[in-house]
Amino acid sequence: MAKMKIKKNDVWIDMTPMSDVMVLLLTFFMLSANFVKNEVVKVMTPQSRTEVKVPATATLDITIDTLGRVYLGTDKVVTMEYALDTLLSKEFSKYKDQLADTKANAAIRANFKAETQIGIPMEQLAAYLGKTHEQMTKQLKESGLPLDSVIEIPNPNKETGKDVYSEFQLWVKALKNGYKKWYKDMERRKEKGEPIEIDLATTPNKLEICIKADQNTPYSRFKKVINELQDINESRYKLLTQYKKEE
Amino acid sequence: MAKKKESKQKKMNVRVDFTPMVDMMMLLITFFMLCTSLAKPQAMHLTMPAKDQNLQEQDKDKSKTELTVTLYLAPEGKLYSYIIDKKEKFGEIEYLEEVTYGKEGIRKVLSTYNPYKNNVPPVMAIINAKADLDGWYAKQAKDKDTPSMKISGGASTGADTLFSINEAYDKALIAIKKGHVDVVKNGQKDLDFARFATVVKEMKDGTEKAEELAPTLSVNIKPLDDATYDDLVKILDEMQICCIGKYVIAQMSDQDYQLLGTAKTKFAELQQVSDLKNWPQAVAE
Repeated sequence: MAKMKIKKNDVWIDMTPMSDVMVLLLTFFMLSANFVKNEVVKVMTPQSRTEVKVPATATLDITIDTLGRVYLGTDKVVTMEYALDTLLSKEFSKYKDQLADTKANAAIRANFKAETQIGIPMEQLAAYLGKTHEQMTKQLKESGLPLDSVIEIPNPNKETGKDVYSEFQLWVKALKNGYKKWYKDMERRKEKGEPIEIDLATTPNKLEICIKADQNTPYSRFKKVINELQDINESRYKLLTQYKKEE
Repeated sequence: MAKKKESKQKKMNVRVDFTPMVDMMMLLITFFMLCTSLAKPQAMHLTMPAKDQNLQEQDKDKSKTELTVTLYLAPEGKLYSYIIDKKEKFGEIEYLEEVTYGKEGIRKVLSTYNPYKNNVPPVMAIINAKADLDGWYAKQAKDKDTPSMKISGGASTGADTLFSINEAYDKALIAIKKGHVDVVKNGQKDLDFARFATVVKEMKDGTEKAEELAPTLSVNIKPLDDATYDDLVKILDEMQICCIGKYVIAQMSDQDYQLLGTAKTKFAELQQVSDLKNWPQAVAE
């Protein structure tokens, strides 16, 4: 009986070239890509032929989604913290009691610091910050900053004796002031000779307003945001767009 | 014999299995592809006038009627241009034209609009001047940030200013958009240094002579509430492409609504989408 001899094939595949290609691809992606920021709402920005790069740091991002919901965000965690402190200070008395334990409670503070976007009305903020992360994300998605809630702040220099702001305006002001305060702190520390982690020469000294609106956002919502910004003397913005080649 | 056997080296298998490495690479690449975006966002500058109630009538920039183009951004991607050559004609609907976005539409309307029947339409003249400036910029040395261009400060300031290529380009572009098309040598892709220096000085001192300026278009952009943000960005982009220095995003006035409303048959669709409540009574009936 003839023995059936199965021919043993050599199944070894050389993976080295494959590995080479992979390393190349990986390097390409790591060098050319930038991380997607964790955003609550997804927006598709319109296309334009502008070739001006968006500043990498010190931006105050205003996101407006298709339904016109407005969110604020910044890339600086410290700024968020300063902003919270500013809003919790005396000028913002209406919700002071509600947010009193926010100031003291470290866990709630940590929760706020972890936020990348602001979009919860003041009234609900205290309750919101006490929730779990999943609940927070869900609520934030359905919320958005109110543009027309009116908050009065006493101002003795005015005829009427008060300034009237919307929550959106207060947050913008708080974030901008927060950043300025942080920058001044850094300058002070540098003067004293303490080590600081940033290069003051290349860091801008104020936040730049970047508006990121969806292409299908109705103009009326955009107009509302712009009007609110003009009211607090913010008149220079950067509109975020996607680069498009000439057709 | 035994000695010979000893000298025979043992052949080691030096083949390394790269499969796990490839697996890992695949994972990493997938991660990067999902978590990053390649497209870098671009920024478009927008400056709105600050709300100042104390704005005097004389401070307002007055542009000539024949050099003003009004664009109505209507819902559903509709765009209307309104160009009149005399103030008295305001309200006459035959000047209201429906145009499309893009190269063949609004860009053509703007770049061929020629109220003075010049050889070159005003917008075209500016675009050509910018092309010359771009040509000059492309010819410059690699180092565009070091101050290397000397511009004489003149009598008023005394000191000379040093411009880097980039600064000079920005300055020249502002000048061209204002109507100083003569800072470049027409069609030669070159900058006219002497003229440029004079213009820079004049702009600084505010002694520009109106008769030396080429006519420039001003554009009133009037988006309706139901127009999309995309429409607005498209128009702002068009302003960049056509090098229009003077444009303003204005509010729709009652007259504007009336104008769009009187052409009822032509803009029937428009009326349905717009908020009829805001329309004047006479139009809404």
